[in-house]
Amino acid sequence: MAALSFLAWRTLRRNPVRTALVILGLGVTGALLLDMTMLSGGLQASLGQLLSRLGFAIRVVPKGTLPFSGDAQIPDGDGLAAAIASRPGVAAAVPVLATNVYVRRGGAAFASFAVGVPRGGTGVYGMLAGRDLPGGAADDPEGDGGPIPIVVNENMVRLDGVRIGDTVVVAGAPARGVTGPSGAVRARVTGVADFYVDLATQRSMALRTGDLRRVRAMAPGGASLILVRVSDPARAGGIAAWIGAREPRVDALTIGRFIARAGARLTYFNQFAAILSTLSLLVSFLLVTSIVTLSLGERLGEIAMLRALGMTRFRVGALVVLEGVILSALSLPGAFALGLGLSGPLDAILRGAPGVPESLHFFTFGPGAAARTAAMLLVTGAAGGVYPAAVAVRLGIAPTLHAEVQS
Amino acid sequence: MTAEVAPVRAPGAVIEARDVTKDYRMPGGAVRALRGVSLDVEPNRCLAILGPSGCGKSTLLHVLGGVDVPTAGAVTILGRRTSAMSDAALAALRLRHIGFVFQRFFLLPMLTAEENVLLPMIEAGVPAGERRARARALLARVGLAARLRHRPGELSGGEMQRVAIARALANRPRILLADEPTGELDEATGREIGTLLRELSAEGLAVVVVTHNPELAALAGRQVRMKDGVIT
Repeated sequence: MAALSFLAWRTLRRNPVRTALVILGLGVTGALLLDMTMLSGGLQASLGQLLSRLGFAIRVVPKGTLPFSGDAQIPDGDGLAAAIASRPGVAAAVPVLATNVYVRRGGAAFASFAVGVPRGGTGVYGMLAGRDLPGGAADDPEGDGGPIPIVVNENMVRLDGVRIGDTVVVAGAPARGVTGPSGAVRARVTGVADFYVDLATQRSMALRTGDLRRVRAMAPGGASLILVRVSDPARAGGIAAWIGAREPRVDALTIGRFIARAGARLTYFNQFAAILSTLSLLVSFLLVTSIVTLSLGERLGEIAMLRALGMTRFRVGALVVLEGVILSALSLPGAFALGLGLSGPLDAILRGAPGVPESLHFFTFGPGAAARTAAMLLVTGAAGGVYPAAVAVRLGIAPTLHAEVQS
Repeated sequence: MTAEVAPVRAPGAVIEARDVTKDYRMPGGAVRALRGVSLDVEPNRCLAILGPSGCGKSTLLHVLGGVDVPTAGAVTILGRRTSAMSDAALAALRLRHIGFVFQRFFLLPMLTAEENVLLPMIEAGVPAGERRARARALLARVGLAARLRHRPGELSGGEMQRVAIARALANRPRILLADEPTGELDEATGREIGTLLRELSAEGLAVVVVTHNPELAALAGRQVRMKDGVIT
């Protein structure tokens, strides 16, 4: 095979400009293929990385939903969380209540996503500055009459000028006098946190569950989501099965199931990527087939000579297929450089779409995407060499030599 | 149709052709290129096949060399009947026992003279050290020791044909078949090539030269003439 590779390589070098142009063309189609491979499943991969980073192996949600995807609540979420927390292998089960609230500060009012957690230090968000929510029981419906503690995200700091120590009003309605099932409480900003899945300009805050229920006049007990941290990730599947059996009105999603469910809602990205990948492979295939067929047509006499000297049909065919493979292989560095260079701006365009969390990426590069792209390009190169190889294999030695002399 | 000249059966013949007919299917119908040709090719001898263009000389050479099989009749190369051999077996036979020299040289232009000579040995699996030594010795034998690194485009026609002869000898074949080896060379160079082929036959090789050049044919120990697909 080394001898054939050497011969194929030297053959391609006979026309360096033509070969270089084909490699450039394959590099461009390969770049598109890489980007589409990164896009196909890229969001799920990014989501997987994010979920793994947060440290919760199971997310318990109302049946058929995804976290924070609507107003549905788990009935008696607090009770279910307590039951889960008592299971062997469970390190923590955090009931989270999520809804929208309004923040009034000075004369301004703006909407904010609000996460109600039992206490600080749950890992639902990551502290960046200041103090977290206080620990211990906070479901005191009466409170002490002072401002409730809240933790806000950076967008609120950046866009609304909210600072640690500021006092704001958190309300269930946008303005005074607006009727709604809500109250309004004074709140003091104790810290700034990263809420992991914020949108580009989304304001978010965390407050204690009891405080949030008071603002939104919610009945106690319900939860939007229960986050479960396990001591041994290998046991996550078993614990999730137990939760599903205990409470049929919920789905206990391991990270894998969560990604699969999210992926099922993102099939249009996969379809888009599949169509463009197919086109890219088709163009690559046609490029390789055209150039190798053209090259073969220019050296039929040499091929007949190789056969006459004793090279078998199989090896002649392999020689031609190898030319296609080498062309594809040589295009890989350019394809990867261009593809990675393009993926950044493309990712920025898609992430600029409304409703996309800032920490998620559409184009995710990893060994899997690289290996799939390289394998597809090499196989396409080989496939592109099949037709000219078939021509070479079927070549009659004597008629070809005769025709070469006659020409 | 049978051969007009009965072959002299040589006891040590390396190639035996008996009543060989070769037809080619063409758009206007079958064309009979060989009509019952019988011929023996012997070692230590140079056989020249003479005749005008289109008389079937090259076809006969191809059939004798196992690059084509007869439509009827039999060709036996080193005791093996070609029509009974698989394509792979014929390729192996050609690789190890038959050397070809073509009118148009068919050297690979992207390889050096040495690499062109190495090629059949690589195919045959000759160890790297041995094949390199053998290639250099062969190129020295044909007077091209100083042109190892030159590519065909940097060689004269005569030099290219010498490289082609060295390549044909690379796997130490028992048979050398040359199709119009001087067809693209000037008279003096053609004479040198003819002399080289005769020397090779004197060293034990069975050499068959197809030519329409009487001067080259005269250098061969034995001549046969062809016309319209038969040996006259």
